[in-house]
Amino acid sequence: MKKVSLVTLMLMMMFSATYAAGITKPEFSNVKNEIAKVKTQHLQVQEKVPADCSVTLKGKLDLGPVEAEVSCTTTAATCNEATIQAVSCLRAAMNVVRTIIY
Amino acid sequence: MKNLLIVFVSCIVFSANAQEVKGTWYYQGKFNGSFGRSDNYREYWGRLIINGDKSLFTMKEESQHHAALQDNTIDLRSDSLFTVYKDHSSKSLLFEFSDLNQRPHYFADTLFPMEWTTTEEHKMIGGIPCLKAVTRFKGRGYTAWYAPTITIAEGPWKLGGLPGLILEAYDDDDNWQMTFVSTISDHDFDDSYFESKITKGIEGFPAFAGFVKKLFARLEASFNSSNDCIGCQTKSVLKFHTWEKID
Repeated sequence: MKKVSLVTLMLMMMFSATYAAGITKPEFSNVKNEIAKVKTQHLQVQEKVPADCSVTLKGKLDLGPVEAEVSCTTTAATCNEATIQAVSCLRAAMNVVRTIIY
Repeated sequence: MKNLLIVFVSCIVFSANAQEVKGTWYYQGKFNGSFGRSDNYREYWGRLIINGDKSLFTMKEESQHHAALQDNTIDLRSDSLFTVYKDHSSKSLLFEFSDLNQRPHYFADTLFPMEWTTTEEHKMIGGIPCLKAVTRFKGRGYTAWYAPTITIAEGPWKLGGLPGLILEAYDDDDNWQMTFVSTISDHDFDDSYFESKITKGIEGFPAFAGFVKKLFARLEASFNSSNDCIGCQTKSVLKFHTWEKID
C-alpha cells in the first residue's frame, strides 16, 4: 500500500513539474483557430492552382485552293467550361461566315 | 538510192514530230486541303485534254463530293478543284476560281514561267520512260517527271514547259500529287468559251490576288463588326491560306 502511494505521489510530482516547465494544456479555442487556419490555407491553395484548361477549336471556309481558318481558344477553370465557351465562340464565328455567303 | 532512203526516213520522223499531240490523259492523285498545316487529304482524278496547241485540265474529287461534311467546315469547293485552260499559240493560260457564291471567275496567268532544273534521274510511269525536273513556283517547290517521247510541253495544273508531257508531278511537302494512269484518243472539248474570254481580255494573277484579298477583307470586316462572342474572345483568330503564294 505504501509503495502504491509513493508511486502515485511521484507521478503527481512529475505532472506538476511538467506544467511548471511551461507546457500548456491545449485549449479548445486554440484548436478551433488552428482548424480555421488550415482551412483557409487549403482554400488559398485551391485558388492558386486552378485546373486551368485551354481549348482550341477550329473551323474553316474551304474554297479549295483558298481557305479561311477560324480558331477559338478559350481558357477556363475546367475543360468542360472551356469547351462550352469554345464551341459557342466557333458556332458564332461560323454563323458570321454563313451570313456573308447566304 | 541510199540517200533517197535517208531523206524518206527523215521526212517520216519530221512529220511524226510535227504531228500535233492529241488525246486525253488521266491522272490520279491527292490534295491536302489544309496545305500541310494538318492532314486533310482527299483523292482526286485529274484529266488533261490536249488538242494540239490547246489543253484543258480539271481535277475532281474521286469520292462523292460531300459539301459541309463536318459541322465546322463550310465547303464551297467547286466541282473541279483546279481548272486550267492553256493555249500555246497565243501563250495564254486561264484558271478558274469560285467565289463565296460559287460563281466561277477566270483569271489569266503567265504560261510556263517556271524555270526547271532537269536531271538525269529517270523512271518508268505507265510503261513510259520519264525524266525528272524540279522547280519553284508561286512559293512552292515542285518535282515533275516528264516523258520526252510525248513531245508536248504540257502537264497537269499550271505546270509545263518541259520537253515532254509531265506524267507525274508533286510538291515538296507532299500536299499535292498527280500521277498518270491512262490515256485515250478522245481530245474534243469546247474551247470557244475560254477563247472568247481571251479575246475580250482577261485580268491577270495580280487581279486574282486582289480578288482574294478583298474577299478576306470582307470576312474580316464581318468578324470585327459582329457583336456576338467572337468579339469578346481575345483569342479568336481568323487566318487565310492560299495554295499559291499571294504577296
